[in-house]
Amino acid sequence: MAIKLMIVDDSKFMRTLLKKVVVDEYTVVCEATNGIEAVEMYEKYKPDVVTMDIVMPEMDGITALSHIVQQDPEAKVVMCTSVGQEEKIKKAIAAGAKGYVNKPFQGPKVLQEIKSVLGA
Amino acid sequence: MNSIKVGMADFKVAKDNGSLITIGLGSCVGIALYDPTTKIGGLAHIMLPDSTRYRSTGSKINLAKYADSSIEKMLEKMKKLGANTTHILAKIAGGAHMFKSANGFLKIGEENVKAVKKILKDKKINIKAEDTGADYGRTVELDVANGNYSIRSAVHGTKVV
Amino acid sequence: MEGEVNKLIQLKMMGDKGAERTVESLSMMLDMNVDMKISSVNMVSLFTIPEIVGGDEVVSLFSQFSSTISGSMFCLLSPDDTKKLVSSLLGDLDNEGSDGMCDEMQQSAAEEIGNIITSSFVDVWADTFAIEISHDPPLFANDFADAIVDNVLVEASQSCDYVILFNSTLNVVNADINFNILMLPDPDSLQKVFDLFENVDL
Repeated sequence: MAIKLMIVDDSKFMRTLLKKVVVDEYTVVCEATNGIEAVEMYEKYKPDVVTMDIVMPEMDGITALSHIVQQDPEAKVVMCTSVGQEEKIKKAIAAGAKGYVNKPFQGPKVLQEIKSVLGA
Repeated sequence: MNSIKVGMADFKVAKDNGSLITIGLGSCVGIALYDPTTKIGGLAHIMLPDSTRYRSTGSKINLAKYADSSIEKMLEKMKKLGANTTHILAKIAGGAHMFKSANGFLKIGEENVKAVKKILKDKKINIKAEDTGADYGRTVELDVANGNYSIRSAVHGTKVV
Repeated sequence: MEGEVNKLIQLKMMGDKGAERTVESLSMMLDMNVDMKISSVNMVSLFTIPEIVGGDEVVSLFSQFSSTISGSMFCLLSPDDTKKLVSSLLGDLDNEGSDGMCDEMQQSAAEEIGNIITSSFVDVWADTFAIEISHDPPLFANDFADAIVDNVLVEASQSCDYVILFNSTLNVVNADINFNILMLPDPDSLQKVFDLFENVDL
């Protein structure tokens, strides 16, 4: 059965790039452009795994992550973000992120991180 | 043509010939005042609408920063040069928001334009031309010999009002 | 006097570190060699900043950051350089027929460059002081550089006339592309920055 993935990023460019990276391995069931959409779409589409940006309008990725994890404690979210500072990484992990990839990223690194989160 | 530069939070006046220029009007407003009967002109580059609301906590307040105090002071200087306030007309440009999805302080341009218009109305100064608001920057030049106000923008080129 | 000089030296070190991290991130993102040409920090009159950036037409990515310290960051580059960069980033995603910066995908790619630059700079500050700093998604503008900064400087002008300005120029080697990166900490953040310097060994 195809693994369902949700992409969350306010950047159309990044969403397109990520789709290209994952296209052979996963089915992108939905794309959210901010944290509010991410929470709503998670509830609606129940993806198996999520890639989540942090810097977004309306609601940032870490806040969205907390809401999603509250809904579904088993949620598999990989933070995929330009933000690499230690305090943010700690915060994301504490909020329930299962993986963390820094932009700019190489495609294989993202795939590896998603795989390892799904496998865990 | 002899050009006098007007900086940010600044104003200058001149008589008979030459021009007054101010560059980079984003949310700031370039206020040109001109008395055609005496060929006396002034150009102000204001940043904030109201000196009473936004007063600096520093010891010295820069009056040219604010629409109200800048217009007041500029008119005084023009009068000293011999301008007749009943003949003065205004041409204004600027007060934009440079980012399409702007909010908060980035939209101060609208406040600036509103304030300038109110102040000029209260002083019974007719606004003969305006190019304000929208989302593009302007650079302006007032020709003191004839009161022509040229307004240059990246999107619309140069127009003379 | 020594205290003041020390502060400037510390600020310079932070500016250099931020620029270096940005160079690394950009090199990786663009898969090109990026160099730092200039990295400076000065106290300047706010009113001179429009002259410093000049009146040429530029693409600007602007972002505000906040938390313990807050401020603004600009990334400025010429429209031609932006197109070159964005084209190379987008590759086959680029719409070759499009004119100017109107294309949504091109603008999005430019914004993402701005996002990565802001993150790189800000992350260095956050990690040096072991604090958290958040930044907003970048805002895009294509207009006279001085008019763009004018819009942003108005807020700072409420409380002060002088600001600390970090100014870096990065160059994409062999592609003749230059980035100008400006960072302005908010005036009321500066004292907090100096307090934070007391606790770290740069």
